[in-house]
Amino acid sequence: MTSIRTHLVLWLSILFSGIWLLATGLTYWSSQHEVEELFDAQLAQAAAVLAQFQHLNGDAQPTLEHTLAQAVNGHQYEKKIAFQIWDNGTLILRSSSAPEKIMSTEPGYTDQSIGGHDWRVFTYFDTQTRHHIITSEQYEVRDELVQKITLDVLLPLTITLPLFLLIIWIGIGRGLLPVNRIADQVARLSPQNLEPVVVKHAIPTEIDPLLSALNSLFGKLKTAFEREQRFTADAAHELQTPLASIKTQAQVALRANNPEELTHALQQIEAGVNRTSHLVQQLLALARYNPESLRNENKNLSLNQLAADVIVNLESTAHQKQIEISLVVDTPVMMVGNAAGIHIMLRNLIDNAIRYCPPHGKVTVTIDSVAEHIQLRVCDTGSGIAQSDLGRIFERFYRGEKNQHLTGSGLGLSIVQRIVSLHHGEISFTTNNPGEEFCVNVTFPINDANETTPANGNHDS
Amino acid sequence: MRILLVEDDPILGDGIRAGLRHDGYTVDWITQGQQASTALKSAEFDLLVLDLNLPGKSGLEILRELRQNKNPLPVLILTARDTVDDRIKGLDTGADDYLVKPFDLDELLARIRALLRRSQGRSQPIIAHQNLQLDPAAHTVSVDDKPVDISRVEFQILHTLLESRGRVLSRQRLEEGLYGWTKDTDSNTIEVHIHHLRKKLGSLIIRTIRGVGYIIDKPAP
Repeated sequence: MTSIRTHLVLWLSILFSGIWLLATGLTYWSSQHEVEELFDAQLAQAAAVLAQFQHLNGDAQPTLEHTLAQAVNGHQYEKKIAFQIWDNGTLILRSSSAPEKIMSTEPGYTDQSIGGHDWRVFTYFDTQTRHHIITSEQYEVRDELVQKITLDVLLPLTITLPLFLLIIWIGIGRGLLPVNRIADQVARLSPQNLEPVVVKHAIPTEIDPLLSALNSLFGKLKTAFEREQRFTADAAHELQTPLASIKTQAQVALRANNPEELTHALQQIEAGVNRTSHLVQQLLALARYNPESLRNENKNLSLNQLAADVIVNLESTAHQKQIEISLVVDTPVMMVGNAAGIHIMLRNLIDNAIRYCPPHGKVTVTIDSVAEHIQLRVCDTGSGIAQSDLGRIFERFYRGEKNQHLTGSGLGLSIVQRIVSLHHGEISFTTNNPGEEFCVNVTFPINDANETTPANGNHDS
Repeated sequence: MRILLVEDDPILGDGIRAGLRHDGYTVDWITQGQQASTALKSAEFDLLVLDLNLPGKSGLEILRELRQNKNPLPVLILTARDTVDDRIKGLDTGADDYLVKPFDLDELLARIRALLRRSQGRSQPIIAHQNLQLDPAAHTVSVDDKPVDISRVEFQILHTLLESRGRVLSRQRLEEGLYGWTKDTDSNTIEVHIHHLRKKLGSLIIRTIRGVGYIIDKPAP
């Protein structure tokens, strides 16, 4: 598992190590250069001083005896600094640290290896006295100084780097604290308790979008859970009565005294099973049409073709009741939606119209597009819906008072409502006056369905 | 025994009616809440089997109205809702018993017998009167511990009279108890059945109150 903290600290330590190395290198290089120049200048100056000294001495001829004894209180470094004065092949003066051989005859600066040490040598030929004045110094002196300077720069950096990383480590930890708090709260949630996460402390702007997205997800989950729970409860409740009826009829059949009673009970059982399986189908359809499942199934559909298919399927039912069923379409109407859902919606609407239409009546399905809307109208010459029932019409399982004798789960319109709202549509009824048609009107927007995902419509009704 | 069944489901109502009739009860079945209120005001029943979820007027409303009218009719509630709250609400509104769908027909019948027994102030399941014994569950009658062959209708008339000992029951009341509202009966039918009963059980048990009806006297204390 990757950790933001480890990641950041790792990259920062790489960065700081790089800076550290670069600083060391630069310090070393630059101090070496400066030390070189300074010391070279000192060698030249020392040679010049010696030459001047020779001039002042005049004709006095210095001899080997003039070899300068090392001062009693001399500095340890004196061994590493030396000079020689040669007069045409004769060493006339040298420091005790200097060898007896000529260090270099070449004028100017040279590097020599003498007695196992590297020396920087400056040779000055005095044209007046014809002396070679040679000053020199071991490289060790310079190197030590350069190392000392470099170390002085390095040391604070070396000490502060781990400290610096530690502070960053703690700082990042503190910065990420809200993430831990949110994680704690999220961990406490359960499918039964999906409250939005509220953090009392200030939330960093980087984490806020994540929290909002989480909360919005929890909201959707909560709605979905509640819907499922309500659906399960409703479904279980609605199945009790059909099951009770089958059981009771079966028990009646078992104790029947004569063939007529037995046949009647068995017929009732068959009807009860048919009704129950229809109810189960309707419940499944209702469960299937939720926003989550519909999201990626939208296609371009021909509404009039779907309506024609449904009418063909229901024709025989209509014919039995001698109901004339017709489809009125001016121009083909296309819409974007879920094919199965729209099919079920049409079937429920048209089936309902046939069911509630008295024999010898008429059912008319009209489809057209007006301005930016698609309009679907299913009308029948039946009695429609009582005014008092209009408000309750979408309640699941509700059947109008005057239609108690008709079989049906009462779920049809709930399913229609759900499918319509998932397609951003609206549904309305024309309250019928006596002798007029009763119509269910469904309106879909034309453009809307193309871009947006199905709305989280209200399916509670 | 005449039972009013209020159940809106056609298949379930039909089944319960068949099951109750099979056990000798007279059943009047209605499917609408409003009709139930009217029926309860216009006729006398021995028991009410009431579905709670009804169109028009809910079962609880019917029950509340019934108890407000000081009607002591035993009420058994049938419902698809099985939460404790629902049961408490039903019982507190005035129901005597409670069955959750789907139920067992035998259990329904047993509970109905228990309710009828209690409403008549008995705790023994078998009704005993002098040397006569009637078992409502088994549908048997015996005299001096010897079983008597008795028809379903005769059993019902005897049962009704025994449950209302000390009260005179009119011929019309007995007829309605037998057929509900469903049949137009010959006005002599009850007399014929009483005649048969007297032949089988002895002539002294059932007394005729001329012009009013029939009675089985309360046993002397």
